[in-house]
Amino acid sequence: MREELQKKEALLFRSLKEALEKSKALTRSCLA
Amino acid sequence: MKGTPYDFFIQFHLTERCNLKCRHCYQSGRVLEMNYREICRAIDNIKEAVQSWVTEYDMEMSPSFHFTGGEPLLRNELFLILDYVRGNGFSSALMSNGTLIDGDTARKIKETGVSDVQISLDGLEDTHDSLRGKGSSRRTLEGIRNLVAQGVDTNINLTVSRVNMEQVDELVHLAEELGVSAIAFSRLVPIGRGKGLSVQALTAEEVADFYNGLRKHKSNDRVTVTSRDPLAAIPDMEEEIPQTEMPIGGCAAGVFGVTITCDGTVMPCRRMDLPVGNIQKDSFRELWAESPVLWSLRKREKYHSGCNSCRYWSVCRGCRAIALAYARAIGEDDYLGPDPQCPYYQSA
Repeated sequence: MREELQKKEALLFRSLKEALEKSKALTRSCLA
Repeated sequence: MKGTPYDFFIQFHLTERCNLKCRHCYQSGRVLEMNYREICRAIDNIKEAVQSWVTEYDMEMSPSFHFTGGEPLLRNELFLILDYVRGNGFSSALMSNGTLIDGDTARKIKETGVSDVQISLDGLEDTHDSLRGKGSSRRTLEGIRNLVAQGVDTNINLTVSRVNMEQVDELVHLAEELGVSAIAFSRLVPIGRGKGLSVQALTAEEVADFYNGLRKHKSNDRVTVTSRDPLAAIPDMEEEIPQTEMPIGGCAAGVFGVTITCDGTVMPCRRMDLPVGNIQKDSFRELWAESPVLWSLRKREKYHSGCNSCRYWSVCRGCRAIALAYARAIGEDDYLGPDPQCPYYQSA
């Protein structure tokens, strides 16, 4: 269970890091 | 992680009670409210997730809580909650209609150390009052003046529709006079009571005209004129857009944050009624990593009918809540199609 969670998190944060490293804060996020 | 921090935020609705009855409100009438202790436990739940992301994945985080309602000042424990969040190392912001902010309340807000207060203003006096009730404009402006007088970073957010789209120049001038730091424009999402105003929602052509019109205010040095709408940034994007399979900006829903409602329901965005769990019984860490709805919002391959192949996908994706609202209006539950008000699609 824990292993499965960490596998998903690792994938998510690896992908997010790669994507964010390519960005220069091009847009502001919207959630309001 | 070195470079751009992960700007992660929680929009936390403390109540759906409100002293106004705005015609465009998106709330759905939740009655149950977490009490103070339950809210603290919810914050602990989120803190545990954030700490694990930092320690286990070396994420550079910039987490924050944005408290709203209903009207958050109707919660007696608001200031205790803001203290609790601050004590746990998170920054916080407040979103309010401003009508309950007298001088003393503004001073208390200042003391909480919130990063900023966003006040909703929906047009010049007659327009605002027609949407929010007679006399509300005057009370909202008083609230703004009280915050500014206390030195609180105050910004205005306006929900744009055909009702107020011609008032931008005068509203920018008003924002300058009030001394707020920014005035921002968001599109009407036709859900909740806002469904009744759906004929006033902008078309794609009107969206293009509106955001082009905002550009002339970019050089204003007295107040920042902006929009948190992902579409608003598109006309100014001249650089090459990284063609990633995960988002790097744009719509935050499920990517850079989530919404928690007053009963603990977790959803991608308050305007997307797609519950993915409840903060009172679920581990936030597990929800964030495992929710199929949240994952679908993060992956280009899940989008369809043009949005997925647009060169702006990684920095935009339009407004997912508007895509869902229009789909639901024709009996579908699709939140991954094109934003029907988007004028900017370009093949990647």
